Amino acid sequence: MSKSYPRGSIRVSKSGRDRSYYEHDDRGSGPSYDWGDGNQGDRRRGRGGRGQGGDRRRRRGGSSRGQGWDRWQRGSRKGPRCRPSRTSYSGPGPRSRLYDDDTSMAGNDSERPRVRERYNPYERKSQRSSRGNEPGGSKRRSYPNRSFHRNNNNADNRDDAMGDEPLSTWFKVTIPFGAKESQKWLLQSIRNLCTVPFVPHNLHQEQNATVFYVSDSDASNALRDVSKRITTSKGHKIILIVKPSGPPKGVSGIGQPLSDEDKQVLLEVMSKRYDPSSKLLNLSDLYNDSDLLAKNLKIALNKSSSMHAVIDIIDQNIPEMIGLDLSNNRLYSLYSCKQLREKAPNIQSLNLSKNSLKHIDELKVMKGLPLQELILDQNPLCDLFSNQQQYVSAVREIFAEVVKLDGHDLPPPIGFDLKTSTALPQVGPSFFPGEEVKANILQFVERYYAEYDSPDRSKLINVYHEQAKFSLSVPFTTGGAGSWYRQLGHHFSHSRNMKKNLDQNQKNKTVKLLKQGQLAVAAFVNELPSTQHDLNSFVIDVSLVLPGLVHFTVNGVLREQERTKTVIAFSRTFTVCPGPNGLSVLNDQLSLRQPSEKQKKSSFSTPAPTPTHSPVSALPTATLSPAGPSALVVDAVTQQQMVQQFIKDSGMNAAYSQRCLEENSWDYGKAGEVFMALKVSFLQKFYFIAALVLPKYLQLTFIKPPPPC
Amino acid sequence: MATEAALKNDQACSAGEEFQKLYYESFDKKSRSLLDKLYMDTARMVWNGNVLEGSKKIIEFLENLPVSVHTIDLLDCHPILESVTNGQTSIMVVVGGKVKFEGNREFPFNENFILTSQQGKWKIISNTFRYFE
Repeated sequence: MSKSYPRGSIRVSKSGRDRSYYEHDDRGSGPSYDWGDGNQGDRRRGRGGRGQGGDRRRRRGGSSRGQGWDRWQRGSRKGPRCRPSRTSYSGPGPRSRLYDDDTSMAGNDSERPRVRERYNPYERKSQRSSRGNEPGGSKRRSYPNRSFHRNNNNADNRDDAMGDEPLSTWFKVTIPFGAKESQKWLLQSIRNLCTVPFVPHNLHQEQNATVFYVSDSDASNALRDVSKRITTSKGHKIILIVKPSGPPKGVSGIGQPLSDEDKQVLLEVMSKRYDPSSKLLNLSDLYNDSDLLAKNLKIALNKSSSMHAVIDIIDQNIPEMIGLDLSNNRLYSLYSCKQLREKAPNIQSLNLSKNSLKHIDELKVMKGLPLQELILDQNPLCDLFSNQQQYVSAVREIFAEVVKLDGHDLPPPIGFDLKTSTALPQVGPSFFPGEEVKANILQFVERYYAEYDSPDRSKLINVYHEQAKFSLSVPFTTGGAGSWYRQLGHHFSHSRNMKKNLDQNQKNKTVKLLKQGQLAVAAFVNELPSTQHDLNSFVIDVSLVLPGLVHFTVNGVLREQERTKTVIAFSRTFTVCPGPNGLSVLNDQLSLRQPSEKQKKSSFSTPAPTPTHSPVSALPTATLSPAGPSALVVDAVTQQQMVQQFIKDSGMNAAYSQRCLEENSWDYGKAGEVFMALKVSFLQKFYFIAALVLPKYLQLTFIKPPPPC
Repeated sequence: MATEAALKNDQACSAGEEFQKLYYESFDKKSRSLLDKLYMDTARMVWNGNVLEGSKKIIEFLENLPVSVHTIDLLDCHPILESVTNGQTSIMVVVGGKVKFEGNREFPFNENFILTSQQGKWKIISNTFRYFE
């Protein structure tokens, strides 16, 4: 396709994408744009997608480029800089063959456009071409000589600029018509010829072409060499088009995961930058943070690994945060901030100014945050709006409640009173229709789960009515959540879930999974995996109380003994009736489910005392305890008396009693409260509950003082 | 005896299945006021710990909830022993899934119903709902 274009169009294309280029092009023989793009013919403008940060930044130009660009680049790539020198373009494109006989400049020209267009629509040049926009300018272009000179200058300029202009670390490899061959064969053939080993990222088809990305410039050069050296079974040559690109989608700017050490440093820096009174976290220009630089740690927030580390720290330490300043971090995508919505759902004020966000839609990943104040100043996306009105409504479309944008007050949003309220009624605690019911049900639940979590559930048989019914269900999921449920695979065959798409035969089988009768139920319950239930997570709703029947639901989380890392949310529905030994279970339905984030996070955490030194510490632990100033200094004799009394009152053994008192600074009342709160009555009977409710107290038996050095 | 139990079991399952479709379709897509007919006058609902007594209050409450989308992925039904319900045929329906209320995140939820037959129609006598943030 290139042959038909007049020489002039190359020169014109040199002026990049300024308007003048298009104007002149109108009278040309076709879209000479393709020239700049190598022989691929895909329009770079339309493509590019998100996440081509460096590339776009350069295209944008603007004042923030100079020094800032340089810094960013240092952080974003590892290893020596590499730019394609002229010689490194090994396979001269079809065009250069045409012009080899021309002046040497022309030869360069033919190669240049792709490099230049990709990397540097130089400021100087674009100024010049904008001058060419004037009426006289267009004429001048038609004088070959003048153009030639200009080219000459440009070439020099370019070289100067190229010296500072490094390559992106990502390269897109396009194989036109690659879809006609199997990917396996293609890759194998390429690997056979490619002198440098490479890792193809994000291998996929784009229409007829096979596309993948490599992140190594040596490999990219080697891959260029492979072009046209592979022949398919039908005699076609395989062409590889290798172009620098932004990071591929999904793999976008991953960066190295942070080591634990780095995370610790980051945590310290973030805690310095967090103001607990106003709940504002200032991460502005984090890359140049003096503390981070001092530790030689470079945190570029436009790397998803860094952003994820930051969000993890927010999640674990300051989920209550209401303000976040991400300004001046060279963010070109907010995709990696996606989790903010869940991890820090209270953010009302967000500063994204001085970044490289190119489209307002980037903000959509945060839709749902209750933003009231937003700063987007100095992002390329601002330029896309021709007037304030458009800008405001585009922002409001995503964050309807914003009342302050870029520091300006906005008129309060006016909506329609057509049931626009999206507020949900407040979530209440457990519900019991009366104290007596509450006492009975609580007692039942406590006893039931004490037995249920014990190694031997055989005693539970007495709890079930002779016509008791029991079933267990696991959600029937397709898609993403399915992978979590694989952990519950051992339950699938027993799962009595009628929501599955079943044929009549399967349905009949499923219906029969109901265990009926005291023995059958007790036997089945006894066979279920051993569990630990987190009693603190329990929410109990009693919804029906009739003279002979009580119906209630227990929601909470549990862990199975075999896989203690997996927190499982459960919902258990009981109907009970009065029986000879208290309540007797008629119906018992157990549903297991993937826990919500909040359930997972708060599960199996106790209001336990903060860590102290090992119990044999000679120092009175009071000084280490959180009680601090109010801590009593109690002498050893009194301590022993208190321990004896505590043993009597609590029924715990001496070691636990002492531990409990120690951790509460020998405040007898407080120790008692803690003891009650943690339901220690389970402690000695049931090791499992003890293990989950009171891990601290158990450490007693395991922790030994460190050996003397 | 055994066949009777099996029949009850089948009845509970098919009723529960039909009920689940009807209930959530009305809830999400049609009008929640239609649910009025499904609740007994004296029904009780415990919605995330909020108690609502009587079908009128329940419907009023449900109608004020934001627009919803329930994705049901779990359904289980038990027959309830008739000797404890004064001979009335009753079933327990357990439903689970995810629910998205407009303007809110999607939450996993559990819901259960006790249905009892009244002149040949199933009516909700008790309804418990909980979602988890």
